[in-house]
Amino acid sequence: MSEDKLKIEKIRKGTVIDHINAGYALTILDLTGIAESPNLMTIGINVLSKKIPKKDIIKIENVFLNEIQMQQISILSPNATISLIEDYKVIEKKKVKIPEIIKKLIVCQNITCITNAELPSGGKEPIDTEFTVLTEKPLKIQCVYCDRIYKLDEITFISKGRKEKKIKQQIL
Amino acid sequence: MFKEKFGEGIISAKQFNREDIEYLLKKSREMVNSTNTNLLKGKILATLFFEPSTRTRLSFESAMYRLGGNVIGFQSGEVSSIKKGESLADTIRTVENYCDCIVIRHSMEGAAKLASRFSEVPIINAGSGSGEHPTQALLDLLTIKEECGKLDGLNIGIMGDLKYGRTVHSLAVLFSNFNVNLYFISPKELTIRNQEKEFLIQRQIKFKEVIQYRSLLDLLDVLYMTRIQRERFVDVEEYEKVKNVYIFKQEDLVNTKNTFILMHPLPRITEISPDVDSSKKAIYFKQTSYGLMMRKAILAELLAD
Ligand SMILES: [Zn+2]
Repeated sequence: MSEDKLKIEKIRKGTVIDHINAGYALTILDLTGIAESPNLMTIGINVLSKKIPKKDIIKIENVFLNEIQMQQISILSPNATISLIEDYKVIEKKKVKIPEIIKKLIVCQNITCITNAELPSGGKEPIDTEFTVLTEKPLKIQCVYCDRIYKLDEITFISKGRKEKKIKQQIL
Repeated sequence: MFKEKFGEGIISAKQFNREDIEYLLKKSREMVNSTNTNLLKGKILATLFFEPSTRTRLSFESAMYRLGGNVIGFQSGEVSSIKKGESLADTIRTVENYCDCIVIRHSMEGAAKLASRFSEVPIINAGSGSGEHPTQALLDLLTIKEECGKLDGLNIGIMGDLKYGRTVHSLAVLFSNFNVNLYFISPKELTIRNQEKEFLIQRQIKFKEVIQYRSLLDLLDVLYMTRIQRERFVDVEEYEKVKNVYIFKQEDLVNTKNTFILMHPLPRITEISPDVDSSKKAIYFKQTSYGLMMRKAILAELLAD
């Protein structure tokens, strides 16, 4: 058993998000909404690892991630792995994967982009935001509608409460 | 073949490869001597201009009438349902039932793309915010091809508002299909956007960004000037600072090649002084006639049975 595994408590049932880019654990917890969960979480920041220089790790009891959360993690930490735990055993382990097209997840910050058009009625056009992934490492995505290109630290997620969450403010 | 590939219409210059462009250039040329005025008989073109325009709209309408078709449409200010708050998506889903093709101009980027997602009939992007204006760029390539005899090997300067100038964006993308040297000339506030630069770098197209144009005049084959558009500026002071930054005068022609051509998508304000107009190197009024040829070719290709 490697050193880092000893340092963080094992969980009986839930999810382990491992190989998170160092410094991104708190951002992931916040942006995915996991932070609002009442369940027990253990977080390792700047854990020494063989694979990457340093990494973060999150363990959450009784929580399994949905597709949107997995996509959000793939954007923030493309090397992350997700393990599902039952009875202290890993029953499934997968690597996150950035989708080729990211839908409904990210806000285009171009105020003259049609996805941001404010209709006189107060509504918006009946479309979802959509971004093509140009490169994964480093991440570059392009709005399908207005063509604007965004790097990782320029991305803003759409969040459930309609309050947009900026990545930049989270990462120091 | 063209009709199949461009089934959703002409939304972006990125849809075009070299073969598509050369095909349209050839078809445009055929339009000059074409006597077929019934090619689009019974077809209806809808022109939806959410932003005012005379040239582009008249050019499309004239092209459609000359091919025997009909035109319906509106332009900004006339539109009651939009003022009531109807979405663009709803407008498109209504209008597509009345016509065979929709030409759209809109103040927001991505409007034509959105329209194409809601329409069964082809959409032609006639300008979407500061995004793209692909048919203008196509007619500009036709102009250069006809006036210079070729596209490959040319030194091309594009000058003015490269940040908000939608024609410039489409033009840079179309040029990436040819072996050209591009010179982007602009004040530092209005340099070409990252998305175009990345596209050109990815395609290994040589380009330089410069502020002054005079030292380039003896090497350029084409100088494409654009207007600095007040309506795109959020900050009026910014506009005042750069509005008169370039004024091409008659004496600038002295240093240019014999074969040099000066282009402009029009309308111009002060950026080309009127004493240049009489030079045979000034071809911006001729561009308009190439525009009609190109738009006839586009409509014929998209709509003829
Ligand atoms: Zn956008």
